Amino acid sequence: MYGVKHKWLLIVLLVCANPAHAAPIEVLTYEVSPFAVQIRNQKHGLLIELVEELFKRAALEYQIKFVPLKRAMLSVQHSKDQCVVPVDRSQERETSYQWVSPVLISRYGLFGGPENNVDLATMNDAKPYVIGSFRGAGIGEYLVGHGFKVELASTNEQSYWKLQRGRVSLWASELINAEQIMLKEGQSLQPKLVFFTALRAMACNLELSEHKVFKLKLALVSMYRDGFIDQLYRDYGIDI
Amino acid sequence: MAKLKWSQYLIGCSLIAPLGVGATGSAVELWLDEFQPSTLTKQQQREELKWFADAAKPYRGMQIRVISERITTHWYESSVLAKAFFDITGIHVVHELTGEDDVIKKLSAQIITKQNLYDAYINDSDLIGTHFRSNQIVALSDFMQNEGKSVTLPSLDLDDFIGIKFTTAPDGKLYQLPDQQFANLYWYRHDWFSRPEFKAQFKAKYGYELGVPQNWQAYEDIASFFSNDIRMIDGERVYGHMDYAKTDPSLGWRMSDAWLSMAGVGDVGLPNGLPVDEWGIRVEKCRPVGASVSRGGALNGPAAVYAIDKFIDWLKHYAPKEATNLNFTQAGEWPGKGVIAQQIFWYTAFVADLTHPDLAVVNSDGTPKWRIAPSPVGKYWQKGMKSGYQDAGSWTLVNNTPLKRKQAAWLYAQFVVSKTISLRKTMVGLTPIRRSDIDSNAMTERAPYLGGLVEFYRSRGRDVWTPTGTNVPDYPGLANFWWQYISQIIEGKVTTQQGLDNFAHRVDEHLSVLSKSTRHPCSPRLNPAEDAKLWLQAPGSPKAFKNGQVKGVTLSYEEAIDVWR
Repeated sequence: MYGVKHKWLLIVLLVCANPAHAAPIEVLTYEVSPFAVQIRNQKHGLLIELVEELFKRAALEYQIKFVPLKRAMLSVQHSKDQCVVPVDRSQERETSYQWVSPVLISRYGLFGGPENNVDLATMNDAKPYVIGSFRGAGIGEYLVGHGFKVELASTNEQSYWKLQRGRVSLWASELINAEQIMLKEGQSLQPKLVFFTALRAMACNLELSEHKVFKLKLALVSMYRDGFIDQLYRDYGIDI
Repeated sequence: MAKLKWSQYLIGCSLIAPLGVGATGSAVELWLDEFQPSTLTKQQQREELKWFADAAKPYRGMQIRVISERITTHWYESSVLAKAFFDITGIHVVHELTGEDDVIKKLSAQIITKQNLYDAYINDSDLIGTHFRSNQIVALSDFMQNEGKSVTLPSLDLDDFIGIKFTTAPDGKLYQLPDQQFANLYWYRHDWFSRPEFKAQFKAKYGYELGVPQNWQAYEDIASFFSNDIRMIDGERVYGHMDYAKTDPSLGWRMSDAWLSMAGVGDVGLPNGLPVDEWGIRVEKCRPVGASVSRGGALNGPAAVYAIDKFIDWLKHYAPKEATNLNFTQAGEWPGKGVIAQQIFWYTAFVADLTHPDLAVVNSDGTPKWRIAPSPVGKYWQKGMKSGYQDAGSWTLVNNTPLKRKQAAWLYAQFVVSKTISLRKTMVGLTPIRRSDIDSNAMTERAPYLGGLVEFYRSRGRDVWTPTGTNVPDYPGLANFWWQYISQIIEGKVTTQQGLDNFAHRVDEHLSVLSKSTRHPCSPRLNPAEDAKLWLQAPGSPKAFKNGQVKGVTLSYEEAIDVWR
């Protein structure tokens, strides 16, 4: 008995829609191509479009702002009308935010450098190696929590460069973002193991109106139900 | 932009060659030693593994994804058995480990988004009430007769699974296949309880023997005895109770994993109370009709208030002061430190962790200084009620997974629970699922090192400690309420009665939404609210306030085990 029926959802959305007197929600995001990119104040990407539709359906005003992930997550914990997206939702983070989820579904893989001949049949095979990730990334926390040796960079690009320079043996990255980073460098590495699926969410301050969060949740479900999100992924050439 | 597909990566990943390609027989021989002990002979194991190799031929080269919570049993599956399966069948399994909370969220996400995130889930049977009402989960009993027939192991032997009743719905269909089971039992320091000076001191003060508590009053007396009277053992501060209460999803399971059943909140009935279960939800026929007392439920009744009050009272008075700010994982380390005398709520999934020879709670010959025993019960408990929680992590297939992937995943699911493997897996993770394994000689030999686990699983207790049942129609939707509402009580923001009133009201609201948004013969249909007194005066649950103290009762360890033989 997951979720609710489509028609009922639309009715609830209409009843809840009341844009008047609403303080805009500040949505913090960070540069992660092709999901969110900012070039000369122009923001675009799959996630930017998704957030736009989400707030439109929820009839809520918002402003989007680019902030590094770690800082954004701390900021949202202390600012009432803020949310951060995309964030890996995990048991450890569950009680620190209100969640609108899943906004993105991401697969994570382990990449080795071109000279790396290591075979990975299971994650246990990666135990002897140092794995690169970046600060604030849920996947880094996941790996540390499972006893892997992890070296954190400031950004995913930096982690990629550590792999190139042999400072880490494996690079843990979200697949689509990894592809984009490698494209810039004219490289195309295959992941040795696609090992984790993350539900990436919008994490909102605990004191943000429950009513607003409810409207955002309903709007998101409706976007899955009517195929909007499927189409958006297709527009960006991504096949879930 | 170039077309970016996960499937391309998955093909790229499957370049690793399994041992089984063209050499199934040698792969079987290579792995056979790992799969010891077994209740099968080696020849029977060879035949079963050959069946897997043959049945997997149409799926060779596929990569499938499965997910489970992170306990020793699943670690063994993901790092050893998945590799063996790959070598023998040529099917590459990525077996992801994560928190149970995350498993449930991903299963829900697969259903809501209609994306095939995983090909199979090992999901607690606590969701059985959700699954059979959802029309989203494969009824395995149908699958095995139809599209899954060619990939169903002839020697699976469903009758050998001790938890099969937990995964069978009121419609008579099997929705999940148990993969691992562990109970939540009473844990105590048998060596301390056996010290003559402590026994004499306890009897002099309380008038009965220091032993395994049979009721909450005895537990409380023993907690006070060690925390306040004994205080120090061998130069270390000791405590008569350990628990955890940090605002965290694990606080929710501390309660929803049948704490209220131990107090006696629900009705008589196994595996769950009927018509009112241990979540305080009443069903009429199979329809949930309310959780609040005014609708015939018991979530805010006197027995539930008693359960929560005792939890808080013991936490404040007898547990280490750190306990309030610990979550389940952090608190789990404490018994091994050697400063805890007893713990009323302890998952046997951690038996393996407490048998390391370097721990303060293990003797030099490898036998434990501790024991586990059936849990004591509260003053509202009556004979015929469930006595505590058992987790049955079970294989679950989602309807929207493509058939071929479902079939390949079903092969892996059966592989890790097959008789060829299950006893070895039980030895590693100590989460038994098969009667044949529990009754094996190998388990008899291991029993002295497991502190009572084998004795419990050979007793009727294994049927009386049970998972969440079918009264709960939307586990993912309702489970989060537990930590959210209980934490407000613990933090002192509301009284216990106010907090449970709010909680029960919220559950009723959720049931009401489900009654409007879903159509199933067992969908919720809320009772009208009536005067709570009418329900409290009626027989069964919700139960009226019970005044007065009961006297503590204890038994020797042997007697306590015998109760459930």
